[in-house]
Amino acid sequence: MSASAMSLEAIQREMAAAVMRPLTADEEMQAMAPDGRAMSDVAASFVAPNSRLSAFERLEIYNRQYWFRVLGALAEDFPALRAVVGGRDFEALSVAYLTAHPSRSFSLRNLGSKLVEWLAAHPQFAGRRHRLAVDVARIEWAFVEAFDLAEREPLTLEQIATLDGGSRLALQPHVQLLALEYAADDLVLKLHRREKKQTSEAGVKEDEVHAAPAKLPRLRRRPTWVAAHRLDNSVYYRRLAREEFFTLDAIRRGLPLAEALTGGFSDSRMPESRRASFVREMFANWAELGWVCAPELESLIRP
Amino acid sequence: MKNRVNAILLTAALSGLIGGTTVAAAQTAAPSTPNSVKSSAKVLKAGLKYAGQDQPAKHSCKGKNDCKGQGGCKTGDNGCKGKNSCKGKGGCATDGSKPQLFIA
Amino acid sequence: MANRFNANQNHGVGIGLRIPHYRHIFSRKPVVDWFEIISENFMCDAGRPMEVLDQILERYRVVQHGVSMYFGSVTAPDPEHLRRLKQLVRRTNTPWLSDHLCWGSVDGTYTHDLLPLPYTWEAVERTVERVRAVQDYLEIPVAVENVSSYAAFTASEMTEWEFLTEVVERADCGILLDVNNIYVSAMNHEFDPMKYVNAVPAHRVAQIHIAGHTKYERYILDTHDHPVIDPVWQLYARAIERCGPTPTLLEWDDRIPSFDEVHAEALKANRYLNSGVPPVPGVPGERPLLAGVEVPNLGPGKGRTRATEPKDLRFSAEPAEVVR
Repeated sequence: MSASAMSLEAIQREMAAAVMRPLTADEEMQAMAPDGRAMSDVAASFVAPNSRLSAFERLEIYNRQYWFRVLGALAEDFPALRAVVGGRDFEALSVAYLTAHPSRSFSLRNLGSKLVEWLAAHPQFAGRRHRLAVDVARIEWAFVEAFDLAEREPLTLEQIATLDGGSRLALQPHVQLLALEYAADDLVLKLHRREKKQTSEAGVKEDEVHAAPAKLPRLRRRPTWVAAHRLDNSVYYRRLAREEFFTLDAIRRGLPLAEALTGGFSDSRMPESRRASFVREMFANWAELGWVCAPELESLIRP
Repeated sequence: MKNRVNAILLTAALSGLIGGTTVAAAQTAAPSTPNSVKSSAKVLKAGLKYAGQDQPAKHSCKGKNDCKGQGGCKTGDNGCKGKNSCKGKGGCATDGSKPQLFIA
Repeated sequence: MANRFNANQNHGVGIGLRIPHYRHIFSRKPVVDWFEIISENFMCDAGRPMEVLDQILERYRVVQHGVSMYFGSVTAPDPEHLRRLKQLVRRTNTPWLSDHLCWGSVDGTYTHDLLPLPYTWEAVERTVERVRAVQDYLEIPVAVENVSSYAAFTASEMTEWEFLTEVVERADCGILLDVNNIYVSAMNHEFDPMKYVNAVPAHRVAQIHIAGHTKYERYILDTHDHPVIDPVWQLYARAIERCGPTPTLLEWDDRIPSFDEVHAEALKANRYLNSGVPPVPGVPGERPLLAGVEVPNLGPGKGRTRATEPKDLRFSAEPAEVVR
C-alpha cells in the first residue's frame, strides 16, 4: 500500500503492530514482519527517514521504548517472581505474557492482571519452580489490588442487628484472599527485603544480581491461606486459618451467613468445642478491621 | 443436632461482629487518643505491613531498571510507569516485623 | 497569559508532583505556586494515592495532566477512563486539564506511549472530534500538548505547528506548549524550533511545559532527567514574549533530584515571567532573541552499518548536553 493511500487507521494499525512486536535477542526491531515482508519496507511504507536515521531506525526507537517500558513496569510489580525465576527467564516470561496479553487498560497499573492465570497455564516459563512461581505471582498481584481497590463503609451496629442466617454479607473490595500451595508469603517477604537491600547498595549492577534465579530455602508444599488487605492506607498481609479462609471465601461468593459458616468448617479438624469461640474472635477481628460490609444491591439480584 | 451447632456458630458470628464493630467505633470516637495508639490494636490484627508504602520512594515510580544495559532510555512524557500508573508503593520491603497471627 | 483556556488564572511556576518529594512536601510544606498531577496516577478507587492527593489539595493548587487520552487514536476512548477522569476532575477542581496531541491505542490495546500523528487533514478531523467530545464531557477547558517525536510520516500534509493550529482552532481548545518537546522534535526532524514557537496561536496557550532531555548520537530523547538547557530557555523566553506570563511547569521524571533542586530549576522561569524584556540565556545581548535557536549538529552518524555497529555506541547513553 502506498503511503499516501494509507488511512489514519491503517497507519495506526501498522505502527502499533510494529511497535508491540517483540524485539530480537539484541534488542533490535525484527528484520521481517510476520507476513514475510521486510520490516525496512514496512517502515518505509509510512515512516519518512531523515538525514541520520532510516525509516526502520526511527520506527525501531518506538519498538524499543515500548518493550523497555512494559517490561520495566511488570518487573516493578513482580520483584519476587523475578527473583524466583531469575532475571533472564523473567524477561522471557514477560515478553511471552505481554505478547499474549498486551495492555488493555489506560493504566499500566493493570498490566499484570492476567499474569497469574497465564503463568499457571504456561509452566514452561518457570521451570521446576512453576507452582511456587504461581504462588509468588499471586501474592504480588494481590498487593497491587489491595493497594488501591475500593473501600466501602463497613457494617454498622444497626445493620448487624438485622442479620440472620439467611443474610448475605460482602467483603471490602481491597481484601484479597489467597489459597497457596506453599508458604510463599514468607518467601516473598525475604525476596522483597533482599531486593530492597541489593538495589540500594552502591555499585551493585542489578542485571548481574538478578540474572540467575535466587537461591531459595527448600520449600515443601504446605497449603497456606493468606489475606492481603489495606488498613489506614497501608497494605498488610497475614496468614489465615483454613476455616477462616473458607468462611471468608464463602461470604465473598455471596453465600448466606449460615451456609458460609457451614462451608468454612467443612472437613475441618477443629474440635467442635473450640469452634464457637473461634468464630466469635474471627468475626470480631474482621469487624474491627472493617472487612465486612453490606453487599451492593446489584449483587443481590439473581438472574 | 446439626442445626443447633449452626445456631451456636451463627450466634458467635453475630456477637463477634457486634464486638468488633463496637471496638472499631470506640477507637474512631476516642478524641484524646493518638491515632497511633488507637490503631495499634488493629495493626496487630492486620498482619505484616509493607513498610515501603509509608516511605517516600527512593526512586521515582519509573521502573528501577530503566536504561540499564538497554542502550536507550524510556521517554519522559509517557515513558515511565511513574507518569502513568505509579502506585506509590515505594518498594515492597517489609518493616521486618514478625507476622502477627490473627488467630492462634 | 490568563485566558479562557486556563480559566483566566495565572498560576505562576509549578512542578510535577512526584513521589520522591512527598516526604519533603508534607514535612516542610514548601511554598509552591502549584503542582501538576498525572491524572492516571490518581484514577484509582481509594488508598494511599487518594490520601496523598487530598493532603496536597488542602494546601496547594493542583492542575491535572493526562498521559493516556490519546486524542488522535482512531478507536474511541474507554468510557471507564472518561468516567474516572471526570470523577477526579470533580475531586481536584482543576481549572483546566491537559493531555497530548498524539495517539497510542488501537482497539482497546494500549502502547502506553505518546505516538506521533501523521499531519493529515483526516487526522485533524478525527482529533478535533475527540477533543471536542472530551471537553464537552468534562465541562472544563482542555489543552492539548505537543509531543516529542522520533518519527515523521510520509503521509503528512502539513507541518506540526500547522497541524496543532488546525486542531486547536477547530476544536476551540487550549494549548499546553511544551517548549522542550518543540526543541526535541526540531532536532529529530531538522526544523527551526523558533519557527514553531512563532507560529503557535499565542492566545490559546493555557500552559507551558519546560523539561530536560538526553541527546544521543543521532537523535534526542525526551527523558525529563536533566535541567532545562539554554536553547530551550530561549524558546521559553520567546513563548513568554508572545503569550505573556503563562502558567509554567517543570517536568522532572527520572533521576529526580531533591525537591529544592527541582523547584529552583523551575523558578528560573521567573527570570522571563517577571521581566518586561526577557533576557537571552548565555551572554545577555549577544544573540538576537528572534534569530532562531542554535541547532547542534547531531551529524549523519558515523556511517556504521546495523550489522557492525555496537549497540552501546549506536545508542550512546552519554547526554551530550549535560556536564556531569
